[in-house]
Amino acid sequence: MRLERIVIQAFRGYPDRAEIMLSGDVVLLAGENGTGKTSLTEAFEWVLFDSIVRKERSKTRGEYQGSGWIRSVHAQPDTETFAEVTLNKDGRRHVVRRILVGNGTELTIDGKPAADVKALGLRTEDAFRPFLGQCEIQALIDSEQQSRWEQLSAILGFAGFGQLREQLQRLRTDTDRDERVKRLRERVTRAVQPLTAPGMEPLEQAPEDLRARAGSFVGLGADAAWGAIGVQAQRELDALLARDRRPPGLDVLAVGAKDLGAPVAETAAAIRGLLAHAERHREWHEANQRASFASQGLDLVDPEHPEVCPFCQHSTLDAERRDTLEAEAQQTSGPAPSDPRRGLLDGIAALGGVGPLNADAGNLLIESLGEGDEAAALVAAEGEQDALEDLRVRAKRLADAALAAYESASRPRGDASALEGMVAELLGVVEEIGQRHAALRAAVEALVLRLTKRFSGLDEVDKKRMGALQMAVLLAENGSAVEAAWRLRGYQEQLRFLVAELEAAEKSRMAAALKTLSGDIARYYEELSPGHHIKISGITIRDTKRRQAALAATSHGQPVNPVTMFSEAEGNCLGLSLYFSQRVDRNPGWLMIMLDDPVQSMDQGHEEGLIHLLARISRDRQVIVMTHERRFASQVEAQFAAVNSFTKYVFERGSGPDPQIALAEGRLSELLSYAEANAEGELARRESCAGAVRKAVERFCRELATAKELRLKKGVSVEDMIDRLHENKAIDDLEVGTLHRLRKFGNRGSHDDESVNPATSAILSNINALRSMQGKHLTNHKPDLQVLAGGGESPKASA
Amino acid sequence: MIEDPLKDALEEIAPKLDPRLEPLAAALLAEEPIDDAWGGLLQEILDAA
Repeated sequence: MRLERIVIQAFRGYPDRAEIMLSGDVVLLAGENGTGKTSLTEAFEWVLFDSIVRKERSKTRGEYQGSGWIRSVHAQPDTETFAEVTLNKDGRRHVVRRILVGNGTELTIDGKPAADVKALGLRTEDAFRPFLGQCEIQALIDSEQQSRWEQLSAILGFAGFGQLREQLQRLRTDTDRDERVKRLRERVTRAVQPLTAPGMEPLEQAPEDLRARAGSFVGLGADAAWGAIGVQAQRELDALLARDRRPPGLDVLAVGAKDLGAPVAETAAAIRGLLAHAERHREWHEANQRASFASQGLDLVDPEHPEVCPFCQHSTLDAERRDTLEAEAQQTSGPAPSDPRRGLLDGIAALGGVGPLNADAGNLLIESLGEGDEAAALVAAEGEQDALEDLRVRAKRLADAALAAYESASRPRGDASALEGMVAELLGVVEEIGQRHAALRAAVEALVLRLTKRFSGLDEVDKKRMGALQMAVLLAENGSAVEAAWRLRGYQEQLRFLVAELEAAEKSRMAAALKTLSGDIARYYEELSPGHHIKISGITIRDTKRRQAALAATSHGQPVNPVTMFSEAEGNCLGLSLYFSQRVDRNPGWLMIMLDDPVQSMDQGHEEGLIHLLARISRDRQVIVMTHERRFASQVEAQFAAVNSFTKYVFERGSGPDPQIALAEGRLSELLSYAEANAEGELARRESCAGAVRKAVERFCRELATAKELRLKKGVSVEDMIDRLHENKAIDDLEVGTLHRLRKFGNRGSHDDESVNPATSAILSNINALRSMQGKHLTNHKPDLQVLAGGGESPKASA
Repeated sequence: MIEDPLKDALEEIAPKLDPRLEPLAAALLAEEPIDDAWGGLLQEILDAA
C-alpha cells in the first residue's frame, strides 16, 4: 500500500481545503515549524485509525476530549471537517475518507461506509502504522522496562497475546458470574452432593463415574443411560415407599377384639342351670309356701295349749305333728337359692359389644387396599360380623323369652316344659356365637398379620437403600445438567489451557523475535551511527514473568546502559532503528514510511547516515519525510533530486491561518497538474506555477532521456539536456525552441514588473505545450491525480 | 519475518483444543470476536442442561 494523495479540510492546522499529491517514491515536505506539515501526518493517521499518536502518547489525554482538537479553530462554521487519503494497492486506488460528525466520525472506503480499514487488509494496531511521529522516537528509551516490554510486544505484533489472554480470562470470570451458570451449578451441586466424598468438590466428579455408579446401584450396569437409571430407581423406590406406608385402619382393625370363650362357657352354664334352678326355685317357693303356711298355722296355736286348735278349741296337733311343722318351718324358710338368670343376662350382654373386627377400620382398609384378596377377606369378615350381630340379637331375644319361661317354671306347681325348649335353642345359639366368633376372630387376626407383613415398614437396610435410591433418582433427573456442568467445566479448563499455551507461545516467540529484532536494531543503529564508539547491542529480557525488557549497549567494548549513557541524538538513532526494524521490515501491508521530523537533535553525520538509510529503504518503499531542518532538507534534495519520482513541497506561513504550500519538485505530471491548479492564484502562486513549468521542462527532458536511454552526465544543465535530446533526434527543432522558451518562463524581472509576471493564460498555454510533448514522446504516460495545494478551490479538469 | 505471531501461535494451539470448541477456535483463527463464539457454546450447554 502506498500513499498518493491527502485532501484535508478544516482539520487541525488547515482552516480550508488543501490537497497534496504524494505519489513520488521519495517525498520531502520541508518548511518552518507551524506551517502545517505535522497536520498532514495527523490527517493521514486520523483517516486510517481514527486517532493520532500524539494523543495516544500524551500524558494529558484528557485534554483531547471531544472534537475540539480535531477541527481547525479558524474553519468557517459551515465548513465540514474531513480528511481523505488516496491509497494505491497493487495498482488499484482506494479513497478513504473520514468526516467529523459531532464528537464522532464516519468512515467511507471508496464511498462506502466502513468500520475501519481492515477491509483493505490493513492492520490497525500502533505497531503497524506506517509513520513515525515526533513523539515516538524517544519513547522506547524514556519508558519503564515493563512499559518497554509492552511497546516491544506491540511493535513485534505480540500485543494481541495480552489482549487475547485478558479476553479469555474475562470470559471465564464472566461465565462464573453468569446467573444461568450459577443456577446450573447449584442444581448440579444439590444432585451430586450426597454422592460426594468428604473433601471432594461436588462439581469435580465426572458424570461418567456418577452414571456408572448409579447404573450399577440399580442393577442396570455401568453403561445404563440416565433415563433408564431414573425409571429403575423410581420403580424400586416406589416399592419401598409402599412398604413404608401402613394403610389407615390396619393398626386398629382388631383393636378390642374379645375372646368370647369364657363368656360363652359361662352363658352356656347359666343356660344349662336354668331348668335345675327353676326346679329348685319352684321347690323353694313351694317349701317356702308350706313353711309360711306352717309358720302362720303355728302362730295361731296358743303356746299354753299348743294341742288346742285356735279356731275350735279342740285338740288338733299332737306333739309329733307339731315338731314336724316346726322343723319344716325352720328348714324351708330362709334366703332363696342363687339365681342363674343374672349370669344369663350378664353372659348374653358379654357376647355383644365390640366384635373381632373394627368395622370403621375395615372400611378404611377396603378403600385403601382397593381390589384384592385382602379386601375381599375384609368384606367377608364384615359380613360374618354382621351375621354374628344377628345371632346376638337372636340370643338376647331367646334369653328374654327363657327368663319369662323361667318365671312360669319356677312358680309353685309351675310348668317347665316351655323353658326346656328355649334352653335348648338358646344354648345352640350361644354356642354358635362362640364358635363363629372364634372363627371370625382368627380370620381377622390372620388378615391383620398378613397385612402387617405386607406393610411391614422399613428396616435400617431398607431405609439406607431408599435414601440411596432417592439420590439415584435425583441424580438421574439432573443427569443432563450434570453432563452440562461437566462440559462447561471442561470448556473453562480449555480457556485455562489456551491462556497457558498463549503465555508459553508468547514467551518463546517473543524471545526469538526480540533476538532477531535486536540484531536488526543493531544493524540499523550501526548504519545511522557509523564509526561511533557507543553501539546498541540489542534488547535483553529482564524478567519474563513480569515482562520487562532492558536495552543493552557497549562503549568501547564495555557494557553501558543506553538509557543513562546515550546522548539525545544516539537515543534518536536508537528509536529510529527500532521503528525501522518494525515499521519497515515487519510491516508488509505498507510499501511506504512517513517520518515526521526524524532528525531532531542529530548532527550532520547522523543525518547523512539517515539519508543513506532512506536511500536504501526507498528502493522498494515510498519514503515521505517532513522536516523543518534546512540542512537536512537540502541533503535529502541533493540525494534524491536526480530521482524521477522525487517530490518536494515547500511549506510556508501565509498572511492568514492557511498554510502556503508550493510544489518545488515533482514528476512531470505532478508539476503540470500543480501549475494548472494554481494558475489562477495570486501573483506568488502564479510565480510558483511558472517555477513548476520550468521544473517540468527539466523533468520532461530527464524522463525523455531515460526513455531514450541517453546517458547524461551528473549535474548536466537543462539546456544541455535539451541539446542532447535534439542531437539524438528525440525532439524536433520546434520542440527545442519551445523547451528553451519555457525553461525561461517567468524567470526574469520582479514581482513589480507586470511585463514578466506570469499570466494565467500563459501558464495554461505552456502547460498545454508540455502536455502535448508529453503525450507525443512519453508514450507510457498515464494521467496522474490532480493537485491543488494551498487551500484553493476544487481541482479543475485537466486541459 | 514474523507477520503475526499471535495468529501463528493460534494456528499451533487451536488444533489442540477440544473439538467441541471448534466455533471458538474458528473465531480465534479468523481473528473475529470470541465473545459470540463463547456465548454460543455457553448457550448450547445451558440448553442441553
